[in-house]
Amino acid sequence: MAEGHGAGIAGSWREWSLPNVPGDGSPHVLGPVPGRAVRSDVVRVYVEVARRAFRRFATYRGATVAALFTNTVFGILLTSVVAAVVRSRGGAPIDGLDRDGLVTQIWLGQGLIGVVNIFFRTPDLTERIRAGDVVVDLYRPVDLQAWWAAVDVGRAGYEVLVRFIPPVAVGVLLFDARLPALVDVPAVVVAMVLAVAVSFGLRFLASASGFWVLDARGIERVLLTVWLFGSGMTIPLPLLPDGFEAAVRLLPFAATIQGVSDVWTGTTSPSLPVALAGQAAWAVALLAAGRAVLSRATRKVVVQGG
Amino acid sequence: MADDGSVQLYGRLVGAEVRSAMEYPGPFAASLLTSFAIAALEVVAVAAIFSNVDELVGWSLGEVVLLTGLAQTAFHLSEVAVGQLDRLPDLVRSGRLDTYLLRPRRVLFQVVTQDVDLAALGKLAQSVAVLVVGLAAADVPFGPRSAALLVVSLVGGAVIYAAVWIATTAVTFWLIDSREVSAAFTYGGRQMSMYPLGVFAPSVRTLAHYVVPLAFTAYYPALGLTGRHDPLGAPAGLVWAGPGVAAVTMAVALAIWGTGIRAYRSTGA
Repeated sequence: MAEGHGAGIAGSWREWSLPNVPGDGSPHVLGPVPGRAVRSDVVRVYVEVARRAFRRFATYRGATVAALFTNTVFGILLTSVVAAVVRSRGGAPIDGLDRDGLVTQIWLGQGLIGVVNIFFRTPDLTERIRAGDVVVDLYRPVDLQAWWAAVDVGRAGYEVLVRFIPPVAVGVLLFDARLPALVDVPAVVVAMVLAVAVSFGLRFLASASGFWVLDARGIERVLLTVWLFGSGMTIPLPLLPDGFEAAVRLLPFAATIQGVSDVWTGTTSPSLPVALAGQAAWAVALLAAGRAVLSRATRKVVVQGG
Repeated sequence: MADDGSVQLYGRLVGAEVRSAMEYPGPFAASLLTSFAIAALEVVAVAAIFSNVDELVGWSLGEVVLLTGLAQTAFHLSEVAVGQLDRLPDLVRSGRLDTYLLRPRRVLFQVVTQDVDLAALGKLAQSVAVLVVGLAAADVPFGPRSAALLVVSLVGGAVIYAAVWIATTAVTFWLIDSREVSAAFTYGGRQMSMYPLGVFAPSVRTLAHYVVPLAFTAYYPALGLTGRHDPLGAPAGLVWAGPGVAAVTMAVALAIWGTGIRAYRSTGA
């Protein structure tokens, strides 16, 4: 048990050799489900975790209003920029996107940025790894990655309601952004779910880097900037020179916002199924990488804390 | 502020920060390089736009790079100086601000010097490089007039950004967390200043003159440096208005900050 090993050396570095606990029904239960969990109970745990995350985020009202204000300011600025670009081309579309198409991506991006959480709002896992509290989490008879994935599902669900809909509505009502074609709506929903999965995969890896580096926040800052650019938030990727755009689209960041926008505006290339499969491939690859990293970390890891 | 020894104190704090960074030269160099590369991505975005157009509302690539260099350099100067204001919400929430109120130095001074962010120097170096490229690409003539206008504009621009940072962060004294609101004006302001004013709607341009005077951080200086007439018809004298506007803006910002400090009620413990 954590307490036994750590007693008396508060504030120093401690080395732990942990058994690979998550999900194996360890008798050392500190988590919310006592006893050996059967399958339906396990599912119920994750549903409850997601529900509580949803409710917890619903308490940050002031932060949500402030974020919406910022999204709207950036939405107006970027709308002006892409509209001026199209105007300076005499109205000619870029990669199949006309003025309204590009404006659609701008407001979609402002709506999605909270949903895919590029800014690492409430980086709980990072902080728990930095402080060493993650040891307690690892002793719970639930899977650490699945637990935080459930938290993220609850968080994203809440953000769709309060952070996604308002900016998109502003864009549609005031700036001629378009809604997706009705037949594309199911595909848009799939693309958004995959975008959240990819974004969780990226953030989980960044947090898990904290098992090896002293402070993962530096890595998160770098990731944030590369992500903003690679996702098409800084400027829509179709505005980049074609070869450069193709290279940026090979990275996972494009799957979080540009990918959804392509589906929403009906400009997937070469086709809708290929685009969704590409998103799904990144989601699977990143979640698998997260598992691999976690299992390495839990086998032999230096946990910091006092 | 010099009368209470704040200037010497500032020097000593920066010196201590430099010495502590030099204890780990490798990671420090890495953080400088990283922030250099990060800031470069924004310039890439601006330049990429010109793969679609030959000119943007009448401005060439070189002229827009000059705008970007001016906006970024002024912004990062202010970030090095007052970027630590980002931490004010944490100080208020944790109650640590109370200890600052008891010390014989101005609260604002203590907040901005609590931990000088030397990695921001990497961004500053990057933006100076962009500025130099922009000066060359926009064919800005060498000479005392250009040099004087450049110095005056950068100082004025940095003071305007610092004032925006101070005024918007002071919101924390009423609303607890100001970071998002601050970001809309500081980072949003910088982003806006990277493009010619003609890109924006008349209502946005009005705001950029009278509410948050971002037009004076890059747009008018760039007009003055390139010797262009304002396509939007502003009088040529505005080119030199930066420092005056900056002084007024800073005075208003400090008044807002002072009101905020007086309104501050500790979160208690």
